[in-house]
Amino acid sequence: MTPKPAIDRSRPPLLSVRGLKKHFPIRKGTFGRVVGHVKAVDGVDFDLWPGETLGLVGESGCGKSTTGRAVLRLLEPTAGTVLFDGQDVGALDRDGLRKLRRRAQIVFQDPFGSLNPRMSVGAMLEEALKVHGLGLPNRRDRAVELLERVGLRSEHIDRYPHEFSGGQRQRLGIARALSVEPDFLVLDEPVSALDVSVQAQVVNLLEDLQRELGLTYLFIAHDLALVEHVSDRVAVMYLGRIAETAASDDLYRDPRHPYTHALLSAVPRADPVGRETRERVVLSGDVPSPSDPPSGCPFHPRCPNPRKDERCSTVYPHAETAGDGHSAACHHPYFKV
Amino acid sequence: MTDGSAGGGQVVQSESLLTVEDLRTWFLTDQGVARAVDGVSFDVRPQETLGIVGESGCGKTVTSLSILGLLPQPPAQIQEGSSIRFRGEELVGAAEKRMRSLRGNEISMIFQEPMSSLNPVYRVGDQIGEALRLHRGLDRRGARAEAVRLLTEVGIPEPHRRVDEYPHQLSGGMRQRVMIAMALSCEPKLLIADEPTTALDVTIQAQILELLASLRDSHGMAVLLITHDLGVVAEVCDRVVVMYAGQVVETGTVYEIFQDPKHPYTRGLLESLPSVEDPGQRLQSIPGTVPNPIAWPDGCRFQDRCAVAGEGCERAQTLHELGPDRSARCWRVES
Repeated sequence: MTPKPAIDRSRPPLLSVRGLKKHFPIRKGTFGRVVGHVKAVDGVDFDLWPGETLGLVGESGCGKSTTGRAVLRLLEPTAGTVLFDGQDVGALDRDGLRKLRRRAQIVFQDPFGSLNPRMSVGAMLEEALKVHGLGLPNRRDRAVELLERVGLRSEHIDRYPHEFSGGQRQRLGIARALSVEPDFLVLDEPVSALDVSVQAQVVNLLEDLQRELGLTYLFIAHDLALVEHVSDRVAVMYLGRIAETAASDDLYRDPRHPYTHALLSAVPRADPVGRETRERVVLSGDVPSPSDPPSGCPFHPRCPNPRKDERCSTVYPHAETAGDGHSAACHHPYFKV
Repeated sequence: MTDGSAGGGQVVQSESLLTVEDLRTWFLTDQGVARAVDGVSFDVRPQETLGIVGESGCGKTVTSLSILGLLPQPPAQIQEGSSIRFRGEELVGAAEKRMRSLRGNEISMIFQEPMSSLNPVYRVGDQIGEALRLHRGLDRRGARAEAVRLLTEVGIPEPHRRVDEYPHQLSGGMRQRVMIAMALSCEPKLLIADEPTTALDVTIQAQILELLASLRDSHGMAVLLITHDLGVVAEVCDRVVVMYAGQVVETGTVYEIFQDPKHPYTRGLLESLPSVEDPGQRLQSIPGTVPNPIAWPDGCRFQDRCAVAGEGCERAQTLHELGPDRSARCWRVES
């Protein structure tokens, strides 16, 4: 097995996101008066280079899935720019969007909810090809090829989604995304609904495909150990913003944002040795509502950092990137001494 | 019984709070008989945390519902010869009236999705109070005062205000705390927690696990923790029962299970976890999927997915005793 090639960051990024926002209106009353906004994504910046996997982690409601969808314009962003291979995604018309979707696809968490129960696997894959005018001369042959590519068998082609197990359905979702030969996949919690033993199968498949086809991934998940495993870099989200970005091993070894630190220490380890003495930061309280985020740093009401001060509750800490590409949106980041 | 498992018949009766012996809970379905739980034995001792771990469809939840007598029969059928004894009292076949006086009183439970286990049209305080009035004979005012005390104990801020709120006004973590307050209300000897943190985020999960551990110690109760999450098991359990395809495949202390797993399935599960210390390694996956309970494979039920299957695996496997509280259902452990 060939190892994954190194990522060339001197090239321009494949995906470049700046100031991305997605606010959902809260409507009330007979006339649907807008009384507020849920700020699901509230100013997100990141770059993604060809062949790279960026992990996007955070707890439920932090805006990670909304970010994934806004990037592909499955949701219309409220503000910000998304450049895909230098092209402004926000400025694309219908035709332009269709062309984009030949290059950028998404795999959803719930493989059953995203497959049409009344369509056979073959029909489903052939339709994806037909929409984009691909797969000629024989779309059925191409569908069989796709099935085999994701570890299913050619005889599966005439079956329906309910005849497959969860892991197999997720393979179907991946086959469909691959049908248009994309460069970039948004993977939105692709293995969260699966049992651990099956999770590993699908994760290995995704890694093999990346290596063989040179794919670029935005990998969205809440499972930190999994994200560390698959990602080159990781961005941690909290309340619609990115709290910290770093190379995956840096982030786990040396978390600088107090939220990342707490999040990592809360992950249960599958190793009972030393569990009594392990350092654990248990955060108090719940994540505040994204319709009324705290002033200043959105994490300040729960922040256990002893150096927390006045500024934290008044000024938003813009992320500053240290020389090592590691950035934390915090006025008083932790540093390993 | 040839199939006596961890402790089971071996343990001195007085030591065990709950003894499950050769439990077989089957379901009659249109497709045939689903042997969801098929000969499960284990015991829970006072004040310990026993984890039952396994993937979906292994029978862990059906085991817990059988203990509580919460399965409608039919379609469920607890087979002849199954035994569930709580403090020496046989619960299989016990009258519904008796089960009602035990449930929520001496044996309590919390479930995965607190929203669907709480009644949306009653105030939190009234729901906690119900068990107090039923089992402890408190009056309305006494029950309310006790509900406030319990909410305080499980760490809910502003309990005087929260006691009059409805479930939808609470966050997921708060709702699970309310469930725990309800479960604690009658000082149970045994708390059955079925995936108590699966629906919660990790930071909230850490809060709830910490709460459960401290309550176990302060109330002197035993916890039967049912989960698919090996990380949670490693954090909180004393002993572990690993289930696969309706059977117990391995038992041991938490240290034995994680440091020296004997059954190929347990080993496979542990190896399929991405490790925080050692990323970049390719994950070891277990091929295939869990078989169908209507047609468990003959012989070893894991053989089709097993990395070391071979001659000898076509025989039905028995649980081999490897020491006190230590056993594995694989003929290879004998040698």
